[in-house]
This record gives sequence, C-alpha cells and structure tokens, in this order.
Amino acid sequence: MITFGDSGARALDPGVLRLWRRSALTLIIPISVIFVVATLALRSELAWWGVVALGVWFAICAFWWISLPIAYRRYRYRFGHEALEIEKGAWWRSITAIPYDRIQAVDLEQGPWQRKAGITELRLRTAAIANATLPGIPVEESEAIRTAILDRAGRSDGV
Amino acid sequence: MSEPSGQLARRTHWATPLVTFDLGFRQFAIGLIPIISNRWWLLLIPIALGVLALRMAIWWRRTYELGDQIVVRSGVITRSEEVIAAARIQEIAIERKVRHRIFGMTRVRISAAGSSNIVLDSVSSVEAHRIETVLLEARNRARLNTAGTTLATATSTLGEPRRPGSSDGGDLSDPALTGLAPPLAPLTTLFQVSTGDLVLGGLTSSALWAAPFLLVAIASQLDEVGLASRAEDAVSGLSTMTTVIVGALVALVIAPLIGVARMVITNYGLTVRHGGGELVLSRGALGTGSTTIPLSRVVRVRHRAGIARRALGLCAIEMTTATGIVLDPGESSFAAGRGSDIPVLRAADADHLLTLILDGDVPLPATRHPRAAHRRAATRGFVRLAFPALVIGVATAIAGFAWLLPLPIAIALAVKVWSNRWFETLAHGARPGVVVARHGWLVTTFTTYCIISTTQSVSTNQSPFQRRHAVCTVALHAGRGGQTVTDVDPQQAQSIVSSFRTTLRVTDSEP
Repeated sequence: MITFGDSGARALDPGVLRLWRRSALTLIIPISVIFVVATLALRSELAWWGVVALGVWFAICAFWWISLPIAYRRYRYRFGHEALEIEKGAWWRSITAIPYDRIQAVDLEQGPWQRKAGITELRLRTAAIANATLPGIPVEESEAIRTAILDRAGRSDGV
Repeated sequence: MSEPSGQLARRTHWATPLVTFDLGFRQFAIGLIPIISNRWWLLLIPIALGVLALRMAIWWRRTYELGDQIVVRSGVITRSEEVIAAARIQEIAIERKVRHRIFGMTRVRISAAGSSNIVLDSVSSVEAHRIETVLLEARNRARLNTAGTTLATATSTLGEPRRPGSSDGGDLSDPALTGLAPPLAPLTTLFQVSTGDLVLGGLTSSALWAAPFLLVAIASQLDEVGLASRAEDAVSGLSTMTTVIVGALVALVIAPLIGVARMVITNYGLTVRHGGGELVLSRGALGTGSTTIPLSRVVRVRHRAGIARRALGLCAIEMTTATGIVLDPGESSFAAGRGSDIPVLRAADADHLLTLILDGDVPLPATRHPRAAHRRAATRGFVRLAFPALVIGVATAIAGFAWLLPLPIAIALAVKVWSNRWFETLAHGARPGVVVARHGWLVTTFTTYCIISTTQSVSTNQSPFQRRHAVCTVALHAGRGGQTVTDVDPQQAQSIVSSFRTTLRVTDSEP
C-alpha cells in the first residue's frame, strides 16, 4: 500500500544487487580472459606494459565490485507529498525529485533475469529528456506503485 | 482506427505532390549526370513519373481533422493515425521555404512535448492561419475548462479578445468550429529587428572566433614561405607568398560576409508580436516563416551576449519549450523547429521580452558562488587546458616545427574560454517561479532563466570532489535541456529545490 507524504525512505529489492553483480561479471570475466591471454601471448615484447595494463584493469574491476553494494545501500526512494524523491550514487551522489503531476508515463520493464529474480524496473517519464528509473521493485509492489502514481499524475496537465 | 468523419477531414492542397516531389530524386538525377550524354537521361522521365505517382498516393491518403485536437490519418498501405490534443501544443510554426513560395504554399508544424510533431506540408496560407486559429482557440478553451474556478488566472493569460478577421486572426470562414471558442486577442508588435542590427549580429556571431586561429595558421604558412623565398628560388617564393596573402584576405573577408548573409537572409524582418498569451515570431527573406509559442509553454529562456555585442548594446535570446525536435541534417536551424531563437536584438527589447515571458520583474543573479567553487573551476580549467597543451606541445617537439608554437597557446586559450563559457556558473538567484543562473566571464555571458512551473524534475548531485569542498550541483530538467547550476553551497541548493516545490503548490491549477 502506497501512502504519499510521511512514509519513510524505501530500499530496492535485494534481488537487484545480485542482478548488478551478475551483469558486472558478464563484462569483467570475458574481458579479463582476453586481457590475460593477450598479455601471455605478447610476453616477450610488451611484458611491462601488459602487466601494468592488467593491474589497472583489475583495480578498476575491484573498485566497481566494491561500489555495487554501496550503490545498492545508497539507492533510496520516498513518496513525498508533492514529488517522488530518489536518492542514489555510491560516489557521485544525487537526489532527484519528480513531482507527480509532471509524470507523463510510467513504464514497467522486466528482462528474463529480472523475471527470474521477481523484480521489475519502473521508469517514470516526464516531458523532459531526463527520465527517472527505479531498477528493482518487487513485482507485487510495482503494480500498486504504478497505479498510485498514475492516479496522482492524472489530476492535472503538467507540461 | 476510426475512419475520417465527414466534412471535417481535409486534405492538404492539391499542389502538395508537386511541392513535396523530391523523395531523393534530386540526388538520383545528379548521380546520372556523368552518363547523361548517352540518352540514359531518358530514364529520368519514368522515374520522375513514378515518384510523382507515389507522392500523389501519399497526398490522397493523408487527411487531417481539426477540433479540440488535430488528427492526421496517413499511409498508403500501412495506415497510421497521429493525434495531438490542442491543450498539449507547445509550438506552432508556419514556414514558407523557397519551394513553397514557388507554389504559393505554406508548411505548418505543430509540436507537442517530447519529439512528437505533425507537419502539414503545403496548405494555402489562409488554411494555415485557420489551422493555427482553431488550434489556439481550442487550447484556450481547454485551459478555461481545467482552470475551473480560478477564472482570474485564465483571463490574465487570455488577455483581450482577438477581433475575428483582423490581419493576424486569419480567415474564420468556418463558424461551426470557432463559435464556442473564446476569441483570440489581437497581436501587438513588441519589436522588429532592423537589418542594420542583423548585419551587426552577423559580424559579431560566434563563428567569427575562428578568425584569430585562421590568422595564426596563415602566419605560420607565411613563415614557411619566407624560409623558402630565402632559398634559391626567390621569384617563385614571392608568388607563393602573394597567393597566401590574397588567400588570407579572401578568407578574412568571406567568413564574415557569409556570416552576415546567413543572418540577414534567415532573419530578415524578424518581428516579435504578442497577444493573448502567445508570442509570434516571423522572419525570413527567401524562406519565410512564423512560429507561435504559447508563453505558458516556455520552460527556459537563455540570454546570450558576447563582448562585442555588449559593447554594441545587442544580445541574443533563445527560448526553449518542451518540444524535442532534433535538427534534420539538411534543414536550416530555423526551419527545424528552432524558430524560438532570436539571434540578435537590442538589449532594451530583450528586457521587455524577458519581463513578458517571466511574467514579472526579471530576477538578477545576485548570489555569488562560494570560494570553493572558484577553486574547483580553476582546477577544472587547468586540467582541461593542460592536457591538450601537453599533447600538442609533445607533438610539436617531436615534429620539430617551431612555427607551430603559437598553436598550443591558442588552443589552450580557446579551451580556457570554452570552459569559462560552459562550466563556471558565476552567480545565481531566484524569485518565486524563476531560477536564474549566469555562466561565463569576460568574453560571452549566458544568463539562463528556468521557469519553475514548466520544470519537470529537479536533482542535486555531489561528486566525491565536491563533497570535499562542501559544494553541490543542482540540475533542473525541462524539455530538451534544462539548466545545471554547478558548485553551489548546499544550503543555496536546498533553497532552489524548495522554491521548486513551493511554487509547484501555488501553480497546481495552472496547466
């Protein structure tokens, strides 16, 4: 049940962190394999550079990996009186407010992995180019949120 | 999908297939030029006929219907229906390109928020004005309905009634459509930009900043020629030098001339008129056009003044609505829905226009940014300046071209100017309903006014570096762009955000 106004900050579904980790790994593992193979193959000529590049790459991966749970912890949303507020970002932090009466459309999206995890991505579209997304909402909650937001959004022409 | 309902559905003018004939035919014909002597050109005739037949089919199957919304049904085989509700219209542009003027036709572009827009290519000018009038009246009617009890707001935005049959009111031949509509207000001319100002504007446009770089490049060439002339072939060296000098003069004269010609031809007779909550901009020498912008749809106004223009008492104004039309590669900026730009105008006229759009006094960007913001801007400027300077310096050293030395300095300066222009918000301020931010220093200043009632969302951002300096960035999202105020004090940021929310409550009833 969605109540607008004094309800506290909500967190995303924990499933979304698993999803982020999985998509990070699908990028990190193949690139790392290519990197290692390439470094071994070019051992004789570019040994130094290969090792340095590999080190930098693994440092980036480690940083990325550490950022994921922090980003998850910092991702919060709140149904305010006038606007939906989204707070996010592990290092580059941002707080976004989207007034309900400016919302033009609400999209619910689910990829195969998200379906498996039982979560939905909720995308709010306004007349501006920048859109806001809530990447991990439990399926059973997403319908209620959508209905509640559309109910609030439908009250005025907010362009 | 419903079928066209009776007499209301119309087609565009019967000359449409001729006006819109092209369909890539020109490119094809040009491609045939090399083999034109071989009678292959005869091939063009059946192809032209085919293109014309296709155009006729497209024209025949495309109808539009006016009312509280504009409905366009089109498609020869796959039918489609586009609808824009009058209440959602952001801009109406009436354009006459050269091909339209040959046939005495007009093109109407109706834009809604996002990237949706309906183009009626080739209608008569009387019909174009009828479309405009009907849609604007329907829009006003819708606004009256939504405003409900707050009639005061509605009347203040509607203004005085427009007389039917007045010069700009169009031909109201269909009383059934307009009978219930509140009449539109007559248009009063706010100002007209004189041709002299347009010439000055062309001479001070940003394209001319290339001139110093051109000079540097030419000077370096001269240096080389000088070296060559000292060598054995003095005569040929001298003639090359003459060629270079003539080339330089031609470039220095032609570049401004092109700038001026473009400015004058596109904006000839630029007139800004106002009435009933609408702003009408008309202009053009070869292709003419007029754009109607409902004032309540303006999301952002940007005031731009370069150093030369400030000295001449001129500036430029760019209005943004929520339309997301992307520039087509072949079209001029005006024709592609950028009709809301006024590239040059007198400073006094700009003030008048701003007062009108912002519906009250123009707020001043009075709050200076914290010192940390200046430090950060300096660091950023230095980083941006250092990297290209380093790359070019190293390249110069490797290549051993001493005459290239001015180039890195020039590029570094350009980068500095560029970073000044875009990344240093010097001051900002706000009054209820408007947030103002000033960018740029010394060379070109940009003052941006964001209108809160049409802003879609707001966010505050903070990078790790900003956290160290206790500053943050506020971004207002609206239409195609919005406004970012970089490196403000968090308390100031909070005041901007809260002004957004409180104003929102006040203007809830405003559509």
